[in-house]
Amino acid sequence: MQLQKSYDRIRKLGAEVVSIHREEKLLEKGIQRTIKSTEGEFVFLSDYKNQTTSAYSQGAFFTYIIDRAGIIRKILPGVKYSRATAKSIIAALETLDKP
Amino acid sequence: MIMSLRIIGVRALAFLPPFLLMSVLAVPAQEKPAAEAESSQLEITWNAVDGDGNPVKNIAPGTNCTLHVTLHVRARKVRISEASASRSIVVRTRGIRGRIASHDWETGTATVNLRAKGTLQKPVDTVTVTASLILGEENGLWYRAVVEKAQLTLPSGRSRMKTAHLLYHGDTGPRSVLRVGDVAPDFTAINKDGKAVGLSGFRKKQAVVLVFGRAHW
Repeated sequence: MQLQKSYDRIRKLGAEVVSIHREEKLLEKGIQRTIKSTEGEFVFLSDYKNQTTSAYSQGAFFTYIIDRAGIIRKILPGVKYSRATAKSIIAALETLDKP
Repeated sequence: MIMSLRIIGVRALAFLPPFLLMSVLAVPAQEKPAAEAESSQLEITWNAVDGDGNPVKNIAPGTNCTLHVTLHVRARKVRISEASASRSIVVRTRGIRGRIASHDWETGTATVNLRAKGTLQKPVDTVTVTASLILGEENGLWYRAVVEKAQLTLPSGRSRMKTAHLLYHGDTGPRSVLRVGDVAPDFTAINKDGKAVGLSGFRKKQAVVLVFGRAHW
């Protein structure tokens, strides 16, 4: 997976990748299955039927860059088959102010 | 193998993957004449709306845009011997390939050439179209396309099936949308251990990259 390949680079920039999944009825078991199938190392979370993340990415697959103060710094638009690339995420992280 | 798509019981067209199309045209398959191996066209008209559902006008030429079209083809009352009359099938979008042949952002129209990978041999009575339109990426502002009209044009000689049977629904767009500079709303989601995790749990990080995925990427 493209994002996984760039995960080390993203981590070096001080960021964590949190992947929210909204279609998994099995909750943690589904998440475990996703982790296994993707071999993803970042944080996978389940929010079945969009219960608590409804403010985000409504009907689309946007990527949000949130700083440590909890402010949205970048929004990278995306739809199901065309999401923010790892390259664009890294570029966005690099433009954030350093502490 | 090539099979036909039937709409309301009438053979309509054979969808083919693009890489197979030319070869099939040159060497007709045994099951169907070559004339049916044509792509179909989907014409879409949309209205762009902002995150609050207000219409967007005067989209500047050259604006960075992405149009995404999703099709669902559904057949009911499948006439196959082993199925009951009420059975329905859903042909997943995975098999249908579309290429946006032309588009005009200012008037909000596009033509999509469609071809399906493989086959559909059941009567089809609805085709649902959804479309998303993303503009102005650099500002973090975005708009959605509300599909106003969608018309499937079938291959030549079968124009009597041009209209009808094609349903569409437009997304009304979200009522409010997060923007750059907003406080990111916290949430509670379940992690792999079944524990509830919120956005605030990652505050030690320089930044959080919040992505949304399907269950199985």
